[in-house]
Amino acid sequence: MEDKLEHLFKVDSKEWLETLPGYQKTKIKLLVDSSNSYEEAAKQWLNATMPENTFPFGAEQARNIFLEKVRDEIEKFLRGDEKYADEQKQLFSSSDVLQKTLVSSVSAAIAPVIGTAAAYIMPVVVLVFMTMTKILEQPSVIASNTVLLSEDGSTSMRETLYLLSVPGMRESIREGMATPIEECDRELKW
Amino acid sequence: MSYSALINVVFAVGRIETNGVSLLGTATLLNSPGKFVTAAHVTNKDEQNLVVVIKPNHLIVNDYQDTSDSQVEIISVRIEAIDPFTDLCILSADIDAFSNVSIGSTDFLNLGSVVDIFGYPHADHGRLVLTQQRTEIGARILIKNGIVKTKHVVLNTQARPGQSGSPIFSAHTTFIVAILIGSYAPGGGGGISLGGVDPHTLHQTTHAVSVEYVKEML
Repeated sequence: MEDKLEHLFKVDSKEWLETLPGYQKTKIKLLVDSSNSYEEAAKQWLNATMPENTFPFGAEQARNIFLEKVRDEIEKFLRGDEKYADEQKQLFSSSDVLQKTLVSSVSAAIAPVIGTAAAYIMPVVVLVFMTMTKILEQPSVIASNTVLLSEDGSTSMRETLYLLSVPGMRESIREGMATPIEECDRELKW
Repeated sequence: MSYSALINVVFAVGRIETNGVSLLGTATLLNSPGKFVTAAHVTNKDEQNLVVVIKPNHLIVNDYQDTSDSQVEIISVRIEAIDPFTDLCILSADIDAFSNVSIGSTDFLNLGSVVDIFGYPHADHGRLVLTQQRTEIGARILIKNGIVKTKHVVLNTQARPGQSGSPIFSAHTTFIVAILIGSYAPGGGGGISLGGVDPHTLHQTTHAVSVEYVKEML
């Protein structure tokens, strides 16, 4: 299951937008472009209530849905919390789980818990997944002196540090990169 | 167009509560099986126990509607598409029924164009009376919601809770041009309440959003 999840997040973060229906994709792109932040875009989606200076003529008082609550439930789903055990099992029993399937399944599972509809919460789920993908893509400063790094990123960084610790290795690599291809040996001497 | 068929097109939206069904607003059956359009805020973005309400004893639109008859039938609906920026929502039910209404746009309208509104005013008090209002377009306006601006019209008539989601027909046609969402209120209203009524909303400046945005949601 972890492998399937990891595979799903090895994409460009913006690919998650393709899982949304057209009318939502357009709005979310607009929000992301204007705020330059996935979190801010998610908050703007959740905070959009009525057009300016308009009093609604529905019969229920509007309720707020908070991003923290949505994130919390997504985390519980991905962690395999027993509340979502059935939905998670059903999702990962399929051999081919796509980004779109994950977004739909998570949205459908957490919507009743949050007290909303899957169609409404879907863009927020996508924006949370985009944030997670971005975190996995690059190290993020999560505190003034702390950086969060993906496993791949960490392995790659350790390999680089090891190679650079070998005396003369840096110069050798640079020299090799500067050598024209015609001057390179065609057969190795070892 | 004859509005005689509207009894099978314009319905109240409600939510099943412990004591029965609470009425929330108005929805219109579209020209697509089982699909209704309403205002997003009518649903409160929550589809749990959401229903469309039918009055089985009111079969002819022009008939006397018995206000003491509380017998209703309900159809469960779910939120299929919702856009908090345009305040539009598509509800979906597992039924084959559809209507012959066409989706237009406020682009079709000019100042003074005559329109017909059908809805359930005072539904918040449990009143289930399909009511027609005829009025004119007072203005075509763009209203901001966050960073998104959308096309609206001002309807020169007073509306009340329960009418959100009401279809606005270009008079004598099958074209819906807008969906009623509320009234002008500085700052969105809600500051003062006298007997449950915000005096800022008691006037003839009613807002309706262009229904053209529904096309991309279907």
